[in-house]
Amino acid sequence: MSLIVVLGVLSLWNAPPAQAPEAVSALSLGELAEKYRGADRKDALATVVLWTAGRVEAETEGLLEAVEGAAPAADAQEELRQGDVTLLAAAGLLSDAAAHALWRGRPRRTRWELQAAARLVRATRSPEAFAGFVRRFYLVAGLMLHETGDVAAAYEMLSEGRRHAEDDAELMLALGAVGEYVATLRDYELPEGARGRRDARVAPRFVVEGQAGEGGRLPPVDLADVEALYAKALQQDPGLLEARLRLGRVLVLRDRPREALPELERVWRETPRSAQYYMARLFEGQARERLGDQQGAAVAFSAAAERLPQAQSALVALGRALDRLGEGTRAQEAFDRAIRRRAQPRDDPWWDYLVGQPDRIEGLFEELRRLVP
Amino acid sequence: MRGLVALLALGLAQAPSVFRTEVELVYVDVFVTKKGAPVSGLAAGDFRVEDNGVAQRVEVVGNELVPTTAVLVLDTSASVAGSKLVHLKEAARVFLAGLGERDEAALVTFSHELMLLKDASRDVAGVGSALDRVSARGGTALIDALYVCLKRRWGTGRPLVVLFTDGQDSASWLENDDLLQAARESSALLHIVGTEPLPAHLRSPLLTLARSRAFASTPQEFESGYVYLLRRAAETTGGAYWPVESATSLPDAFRRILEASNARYVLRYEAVGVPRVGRHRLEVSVRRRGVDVQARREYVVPGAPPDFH
Repeated sequence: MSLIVVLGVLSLWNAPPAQAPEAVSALSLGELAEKYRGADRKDALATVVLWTAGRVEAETEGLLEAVEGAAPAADAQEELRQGDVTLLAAAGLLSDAAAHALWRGRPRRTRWELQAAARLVRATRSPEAFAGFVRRFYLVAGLMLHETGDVAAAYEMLSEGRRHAEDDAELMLALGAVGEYVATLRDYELPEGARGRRDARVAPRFVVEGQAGEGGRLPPVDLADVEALYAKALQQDPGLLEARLRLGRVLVLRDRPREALPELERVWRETPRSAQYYMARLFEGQARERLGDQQGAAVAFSAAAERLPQAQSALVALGRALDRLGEGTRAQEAFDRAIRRRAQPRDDPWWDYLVGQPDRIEGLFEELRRLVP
Repeated sequence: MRGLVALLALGLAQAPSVFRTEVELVYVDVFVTKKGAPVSGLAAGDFRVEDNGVAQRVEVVGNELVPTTAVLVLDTSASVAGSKLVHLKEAARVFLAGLGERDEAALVTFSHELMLLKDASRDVAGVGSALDRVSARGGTALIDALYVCLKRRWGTGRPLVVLFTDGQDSASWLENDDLLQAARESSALLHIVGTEPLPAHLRSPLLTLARSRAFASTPQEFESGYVYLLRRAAETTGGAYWPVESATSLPDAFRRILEASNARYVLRYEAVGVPRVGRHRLEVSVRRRGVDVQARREYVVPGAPPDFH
């Protein structure tokens, strides 16, 4: 999963914040949150990124107590609102620090900064008054956690977001992507024919550290749940091509390749984005393989490889398809291209696909910053 | 044994598909041990080979006639960085130093990216130089890497693929079934060295004790599904999965693979009495008491596109 942390955030945040100025280093989280709301965003961030985990926890606890114990104001509604504003601004600041840690390849820090931020969001008294921020927070936090590999925490975060915004198509898409990862991980890890065999000698599944959360459990989700999430997301927003792409893949995995083909074709015909075109063609190839159409699969993989000539997965898939067709020379050419290519860090969208939508985090985070109350 | 001279001149076992030449010649690598030690001095008459249940007439091909093309496939994902990578490079050098004059070597690394650093040639020193450039980063696309290395044509000798990995696949496009299919169809002999740690729930002292006792009779009882897959792929080709407890044991593991490779018998036969195309189940035994025999269990000669459903 470290691949993702390294690859997924290379383009985020052009420069790290400056070192903490002495003048702000002793400020509390509440005070820094106020600076973060104003013109001193970078200074506030530069301070928080230097805090230890213990300091973040203590400051979070302190802010929660301060907001809850604030002296009654003449206007109780205004007091509640001001408390919520401080909490959400602090959550935005900690989220920014979490993103910074992700950019620096420190996924553990990303996780605990986001958990602290989530505590603050949970403590708001009127989240509905800040619905735009709240739903964006849960979406961005979920996407970041997915990228760190902590899919259990990502799933919880996104599920919590849906309790605030049940019909948010992007939350459903992100939640589905986590579920898709988990469900295919389970299928993937068990070797051919081992499931259900008493003599298979397969130990209980090996949960990768960091993927399963503190309880060592992965979310109880299967591909049927994931399909339902994508379908519902598309009902809300039929133009959400990423959901259509992922629905297509899930239909292939659920042995319904005929249903998958029109979804995937719609994606690659409509999308101007190379990555989605590439992925749709890859999944189309997979669907055609399952239908026994090896020739059609080779054509689809070839189209993907043509669109992104340096992408490894399309070349490997094409080589396998040609090998199955008995076209040994062309298969060898594809394998040779796959093994001799000079890769760039993010030249195969398949690697990003596995960890959600890392290419969306930057844009969504900019929105979140603008929504800080 | 018509066509043999021409076959040797063209290079051994480098036809596009497994073991195929104009004549259906089948090569099988066989390891024979007694109480863990290699058994030498066996002749063709000591072996019994059944191809889909039909006994075949075999000959033993001398090692001097069968140079090896060794393909080192090294996991260089981020988890290998540091001392593990140092030990891995040392292990690779130990292996290269043990190759014969006529043998060839190639070097491939993989993280999420698959990279050919040195193609197969007798320039073994060049492979050593390429090792100097190896660094570790990224995820793990082991199945894609292994599939390509099993399918690709390498050099002119008997292909021997030696793969090291320390973790689980996180980035492959291909699936488990693809790997097993490639193992069945490839003419390469595959050995895999793995340092995958035990799952956390199996690390307690009590379980360690239980495991050490259990290993005597059922060594695979506690392995993860992933190791099961790798072991099965290796054994399908006649090779083995070599678990190592720590990176410091890597040079020794690579040395043992080399020794096993040098001590192997290469059997050759012209398949008779069985349909050429399709899946062939192999039974190899030795007419000696108390010996263990390790050999390829099956091979596939592709013909019409197979039914994958």
